[in-house]
Amino acid sequence: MANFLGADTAVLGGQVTAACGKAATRADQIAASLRSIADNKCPVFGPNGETLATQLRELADGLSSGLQRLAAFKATAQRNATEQDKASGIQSAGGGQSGPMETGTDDGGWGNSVWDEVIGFLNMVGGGAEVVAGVGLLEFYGVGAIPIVHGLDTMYAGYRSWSEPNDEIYETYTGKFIREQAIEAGYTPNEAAWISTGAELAIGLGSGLAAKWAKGIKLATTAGSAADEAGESIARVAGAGGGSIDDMARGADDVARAAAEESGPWMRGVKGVEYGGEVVAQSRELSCTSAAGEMLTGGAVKEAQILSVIGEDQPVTRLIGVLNDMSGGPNYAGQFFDNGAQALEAARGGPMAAQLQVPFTKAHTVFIEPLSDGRFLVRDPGTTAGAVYKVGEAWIKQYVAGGVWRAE
Amino acid sequence: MSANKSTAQVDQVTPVADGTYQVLLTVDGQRREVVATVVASRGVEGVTFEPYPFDLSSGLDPRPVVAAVLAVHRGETP
Repeated sequence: MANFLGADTAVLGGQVTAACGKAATRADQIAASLRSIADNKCPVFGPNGETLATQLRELADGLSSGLQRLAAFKATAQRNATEQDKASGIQSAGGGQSGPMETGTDDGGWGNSVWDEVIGFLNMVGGGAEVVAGVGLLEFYGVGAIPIVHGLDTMYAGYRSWSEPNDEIYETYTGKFIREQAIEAGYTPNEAAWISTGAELAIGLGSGLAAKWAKGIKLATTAGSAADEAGESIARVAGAGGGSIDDMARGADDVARAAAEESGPWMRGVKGVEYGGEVVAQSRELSCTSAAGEMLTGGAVKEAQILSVIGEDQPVTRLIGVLNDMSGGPNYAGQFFDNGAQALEAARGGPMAAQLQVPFTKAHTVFIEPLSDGRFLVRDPGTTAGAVYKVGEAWIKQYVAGGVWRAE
Repeated sequence: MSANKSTAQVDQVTPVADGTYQVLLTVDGQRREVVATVVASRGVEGVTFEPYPFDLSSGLDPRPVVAAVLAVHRGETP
């Protein structure tokens, strides 16, 4: 049986089909998101925003028109997967290196090469995630220019790879600039290429985390998920291969995995995160308040007990009533604060369940304890196994909007 | 509810009892009424709501509402 980079063609075909189907769905959502941003968000940036709006609309149109071609490719991949007798239509590029995948079949105008278009498409998805995250960050925090610029750069390179009738995978201007600078600095072209790839992955990592940071923005969530899934898809498709695509796919997969291990933007930049350990991980997607309640009671009241009373998706102050009822008296108090100084003062007073808030991001509840060195230990129920990390006063002042603690 | 489009503003804070206020808000174009109670613990003055004014998924931050309530409360308290 013919193979592609050592992969079983039937399996590969199925993986490509699944990946493209998912990517097509996400691309449709991203196209809608880009139009929404162009219509609703860009005007706040003034003339530059209008320029960005025009670019976003064009990119959204490009994504939409590309969906039809993706559907054609999906059909081709499906045929290759199901008709193993025709598997010879997928031929190895040889040498364990990435190269064009020849279908040799009627592909509805797709053309003979697909890798440039698949990678181009995924670049558009990833670039779109950066743009969406960057716009959100710029609007609410005054930062985000790098994700926007790099995202547009990536999307444009992806769009060229996708749309132009040749086998080229276009390089981003960012990557080209870095590579040229590296060569000028004395690196070999090959070394410079890897430096460029690494730098772009680093930028992408930052943007990926930014997308997670802005995940409360529905648009960013949509795009961020698409980027995650795209990364996973690349890894699956290229999993059996070798060479640069495989390495880049691993990088994308690492980005997706790192993002999945964050409970929210408050974990961005936090060092020394310990997953698992002495933390009650929330049992349900939205039971963080109940899990924090169990930690606040030292395990005397279980998450399930609290959850059965208050349900999921509740503000931290719902703990006051339920824990007082369960403990038989006014043993717990709490409130929402109007500024960071109040939050810090309360946090210094002892352990508390704390509601974290970032504008336009879904609220989250953790358990916080003051440490002797002036920092605070956070027991975060929000990742898969829960997480424990240390933060400083600035973190408390920025993120803690309310808390519940044992009454004095 | 689309988190990115959620908006809220405090329209009115009216005292109803000692330390308790009726808060009228407009959240995503809908009028909403909650009761805010000013409390103090650990040396910090803050507010509890009944019910909580926002859908947590909206990402709307309660701190500006707390600030509005405390401003009225402090203005009335010598």
